Amino acid sequence: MKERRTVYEIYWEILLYCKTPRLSTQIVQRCDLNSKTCQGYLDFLLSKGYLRSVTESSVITYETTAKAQDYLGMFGSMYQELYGVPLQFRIKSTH
Amino acid sequence: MMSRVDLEGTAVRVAREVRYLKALVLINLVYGVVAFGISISAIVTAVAPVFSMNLSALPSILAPQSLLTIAFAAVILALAARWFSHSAEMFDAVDDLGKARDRMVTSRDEEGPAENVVGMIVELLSYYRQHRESIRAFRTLGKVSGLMFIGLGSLGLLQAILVSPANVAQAILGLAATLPPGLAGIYISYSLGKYQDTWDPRLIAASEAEEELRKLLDRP
Repeated sequence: MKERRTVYEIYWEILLYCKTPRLSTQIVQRCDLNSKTCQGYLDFLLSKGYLRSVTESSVITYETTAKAQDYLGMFGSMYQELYGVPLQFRIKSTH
Repeated sequence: MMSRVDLEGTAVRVAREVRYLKALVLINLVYGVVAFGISISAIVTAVAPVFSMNLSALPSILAPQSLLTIAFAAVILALAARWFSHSAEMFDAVDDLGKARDRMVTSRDEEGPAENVVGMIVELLSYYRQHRESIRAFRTLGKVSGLMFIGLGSLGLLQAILVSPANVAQAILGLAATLPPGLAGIYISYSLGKYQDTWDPRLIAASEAEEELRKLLDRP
């Protein structure tokens, strides 16, 4: 299978989605992952303190922490910079 | 962090690029269908006598020149089939991008406008990563096949002028028929070149951004 998203993009999607507490099945579905790889990403983000897990009535939900704001902010500004004015795709001249 | 005006400007550029990309991929798909049709027509014309069970035509079909023509047409057919299937795949994906663009423009969900724009940029980057090799191949094949179409029509006209002037009108019609797909092939190649020239630096910039993100993630 061809490479589609990088791990950093997947982390960003997970962290953004988990601003509201989510079940792992919801994350799998929303971020288009399989459950095994998703668990790997969740474990990594938990280990970095970017996510926290909350267990309530034996149901585990994941929520983005304040620490992840640095990552989300940096990712967002760097990706928006990719669309800087000098680089524009146009197939005709329009102003 | 980007200002509201910058964000709106980025959103407009993203939406516009998706629109252009969709148009380009559609032209590419139509071109693939035309090339596929022409190839099938050429092969059928070449091998039709076999299916008509006219055994007297067999020696002429088995002549090296005919076999070469059939082999050439078969190669073109295989390339056209690949072109068609890859463009259909690209069109399907770009259709999803169009839907994502519409969501970005009209979204009022819990994720903010900046996040929607960044999400769209991530989608576009993913699209380019996934189809980069196909785009490169389309760029080359578009130019080659476009020149071949124009060359074929021009050759017919030249031959008519030099050998049988009575057929010039027919040859002009032939050129008129091969000129549009020829120009379309060259246009596709040129436009995909512009697309690549825009996205290759973005991909490099994204890799550099990833390095910064990796450093951030490595912090204790």
